[in-house]
Amino acid sequence: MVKGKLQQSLAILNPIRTVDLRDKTGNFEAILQGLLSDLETPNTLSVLLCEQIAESIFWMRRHVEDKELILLEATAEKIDKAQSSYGGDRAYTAEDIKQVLLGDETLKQKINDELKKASFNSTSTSFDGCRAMAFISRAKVIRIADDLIQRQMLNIRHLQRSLDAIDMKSRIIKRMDLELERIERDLTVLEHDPEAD
Amino acid sequence: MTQKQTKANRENAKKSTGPRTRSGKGRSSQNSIKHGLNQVLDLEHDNRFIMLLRLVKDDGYAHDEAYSIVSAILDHRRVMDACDQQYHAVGEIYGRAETMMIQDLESDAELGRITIGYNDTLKIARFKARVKRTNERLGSVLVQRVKRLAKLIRYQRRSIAQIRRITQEIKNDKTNPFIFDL
Repeated sequence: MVKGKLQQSLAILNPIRTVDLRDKTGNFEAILQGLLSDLETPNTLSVLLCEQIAESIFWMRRHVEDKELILLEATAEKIDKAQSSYGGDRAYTAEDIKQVLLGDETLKQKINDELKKASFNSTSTSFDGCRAMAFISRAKVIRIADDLIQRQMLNIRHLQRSLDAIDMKSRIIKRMDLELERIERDLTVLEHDPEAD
Repeated sequence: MTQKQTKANRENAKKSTGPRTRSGKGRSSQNSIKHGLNQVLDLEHDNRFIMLLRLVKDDGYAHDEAYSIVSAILDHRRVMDACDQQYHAVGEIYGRAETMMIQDLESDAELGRITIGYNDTLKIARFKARVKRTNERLGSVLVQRVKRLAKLIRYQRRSIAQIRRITQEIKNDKTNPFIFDL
């Protein structure tokens, strides 16, 4: 049943696709298919709006990932600065910082030990200290990223309401009501048509 | 500057006067455009618009309704396409997928499953160098992306509000003339 609706929606959408994202992950397509399979009465407008909603969800996830990456990268940068003042290759990357935050205590301990030993360390002596410093240094950008996420949330909400407003079920009922009204009016006109008398 | 030098400068300037071909002039005419979102949409000559308008009308919407909603959606598309363009304009970030693909290739080669030629080795080395360079400036790329996209928030707000307003009008329209076209 769901698969049938998805096929039906995709058949409408595929020739008229408007969203062309450079997405290598396939996330957008997964979100879109999920939304389309929930669509009760697919038509051109509803599948177009679903496509826009899927894009907004995709952008929201993208902004969340970017925000996280900004913080991780800034933390790695602070640790690097604290460890050495000579520059050169990075000792830790954003990926390493993520591992620590996911619970890699060994790596955290290693970073803490290195920070304590660093002779030129004037920044911070712990991983958590570096993380706090990173947050402060990127506070402005984080706020902008939050605005972007908030914008996508509002976009989704508005598009959902738009989809609700053009819902074919209610339109069909409205159509039928008006059609009945028209028939009734026509009938009345016929009844009082002087030529008919 | 002597008169002779001024004359020489003018003569030299005539030799290098920017793009000459039609396509070159066309490209350079777009140089100062940042996102073009303040320009008026030219819908009359847009094939996509014409097709969507026909399909939406086929679903039972009146011409005016279909025209408004399709133009609003295409305006929104223009904004979101500009966002995507701005997002990628700063520079690509190579993720784990690409790095893991290279690692898989190298381990396969070590195990003798595949053979990597000299040219492929060079390509892999270049790719690794690119990943390293990207990681070194990852922070600045991310910050630039966020700042660039922030400039487009107000356009998103405008286009979404337009879609919302039109769909609400369609919903509230009790004397919809298209219904009599049944």
